[in-house]
Amino acid sequence: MDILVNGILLGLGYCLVGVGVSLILGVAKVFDLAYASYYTIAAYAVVTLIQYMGPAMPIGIIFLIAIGIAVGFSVVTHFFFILPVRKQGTTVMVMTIAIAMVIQELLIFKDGSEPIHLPSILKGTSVLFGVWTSNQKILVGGVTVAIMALLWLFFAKTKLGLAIRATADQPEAIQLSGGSIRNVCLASGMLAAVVAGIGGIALGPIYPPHPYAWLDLLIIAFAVIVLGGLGNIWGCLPAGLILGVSEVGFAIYVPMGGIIKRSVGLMIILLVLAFKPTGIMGVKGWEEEA
Amino acid sequence: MEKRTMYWAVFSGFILELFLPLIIANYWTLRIFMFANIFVIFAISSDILLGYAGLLSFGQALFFGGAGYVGALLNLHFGLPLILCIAIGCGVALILGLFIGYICLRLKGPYLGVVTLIFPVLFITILHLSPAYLGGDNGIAGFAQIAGGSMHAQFYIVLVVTLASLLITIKIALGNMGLILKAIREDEMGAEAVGINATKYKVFAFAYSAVFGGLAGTLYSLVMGSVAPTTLSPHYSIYPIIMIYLGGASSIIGATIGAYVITYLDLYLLAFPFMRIIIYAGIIIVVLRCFPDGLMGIFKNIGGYQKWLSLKSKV
Repeated sequence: MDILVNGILLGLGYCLVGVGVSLILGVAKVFDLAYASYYTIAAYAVVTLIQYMGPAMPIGIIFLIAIGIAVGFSVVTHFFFILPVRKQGTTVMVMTIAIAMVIQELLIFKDGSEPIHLPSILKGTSVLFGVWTSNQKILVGGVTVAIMALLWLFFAKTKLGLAIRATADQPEAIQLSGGSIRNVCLASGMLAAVVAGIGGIALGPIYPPHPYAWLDLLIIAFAVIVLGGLGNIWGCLPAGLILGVSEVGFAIYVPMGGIIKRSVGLMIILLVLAFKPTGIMGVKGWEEEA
Repeated sequence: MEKRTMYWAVFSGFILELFLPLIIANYWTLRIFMFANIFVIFAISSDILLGYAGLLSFGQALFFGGAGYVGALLNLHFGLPLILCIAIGCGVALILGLFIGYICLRLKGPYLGVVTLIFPVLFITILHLSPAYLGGDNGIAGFAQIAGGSMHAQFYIVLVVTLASLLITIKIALGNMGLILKAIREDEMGAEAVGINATKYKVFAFAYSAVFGGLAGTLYSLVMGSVAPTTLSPHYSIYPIIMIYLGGASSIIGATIGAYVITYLDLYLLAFPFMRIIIYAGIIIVVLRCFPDGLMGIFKNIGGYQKWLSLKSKV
């Protein structure tokens, strides 16, 4: 029970990290390696705003501004650096990893390389199925479930959601019927950045963000999307849960597991690639299409 | 670039550097040249992988740092002679390269990059398992240095090794192998239709870059006399990529020039550690957006303009 509750809460957090990358990957078919930086940017923005605005500004507005800043970074990255070279996957990756490193250095310049402290939104602990957990972790789980539900609604009901799904399936058909792939890619990037901003604020108090955090987040995100299946955002949910539960189990049962638990994600990636390259819910032959 | 021009460029550079210690008495300048040579090995081996085979790997630091660690540990704990340490380091890098190549080649294009990004992180985790024996965060020191730490001897040893690896790499890049790798990069299905076993050659490219990356790594750690987990950090995976793109992808000479330029920049930017990465990232972004062929492309263009101006070409 201990493992299950903690693992599921952790896994929901992982799912939150993975879903954004999966979104960009599924629609725009590019790898935005700077994506994980938007999490840290949002968390840093919250800390800075609280520092300067303090109690003068309600916390909700601070969160909104922080998410807005993350979205702004995403739009700049996509518009100036990714869209012009969208067809060349290698160039996009080198470029976005360069952007991620620039952001990392800017954050070091601002606050040093130590992790920063982000205040919890919900304080205290509570008992869930007989296990003590912090309220913040439960909040992260709730936020993830809410975001997945909202995404589902968005994709199922709105016109933009339809356009995004259509672009993911048949980019040429969208162009033929008068749509703009550029705008849809931009929109999916913004959507992913909103998820990243919320994720950064919600996960920040649990995993204190530091300038180098993007690499860890990127690895988690990639483990989630490889396990869940490339190009399918719904696969992120089971994948995140499996990853979270196995990581917690590893940390408890395996000797020295505390140190190697970080590489559980890697081992899972290797196993999945070796035995079932499409992941849990992946579309077969998807990467050939891209 | 023609084969002959390339060999001329390499040999003239080699002879120039042969007399360098007579001209430059400054210890640090020589040392920078030596490190530039080590990075030349690293960059050209990655150029075979990235430039010729078109496989983007963000895990080159694994070969560089991993082999460096293996060489250093063997000397520290077992007292093996250095030449054996270097050989075993390269062997371990080869095994790692074959392993990673075999696993990752199921992935296409960009996915390869992200998966390879993870391996150095795993290696760092392994280092933390036994801080007393493997060094942990602090790295290890106290093993023997090449030529007992004598500056000039080290410089010449590294120079000769660099020349040898440059010649081998040029031979491969301009020979059949380079052509096949380029064909696979441009059109894998087409290459397979002509009867080329694409997977085999891609694994070869991985193994090649692993061995020479490992060679560079062992040289680096055994010249330095200490090795730290920073050699496994993503920065060391990105160095060769910057060098290759700056100099021009799929031209060995371009990667060589890139390695020299970046190593020098490193020296001058040491005073501003914070600006360093921003400047590198800026270089990458500008080069990729404006000069996709890198410095070599610019040189080639200059040649083109001259020909056009003087109308020496057949008009």
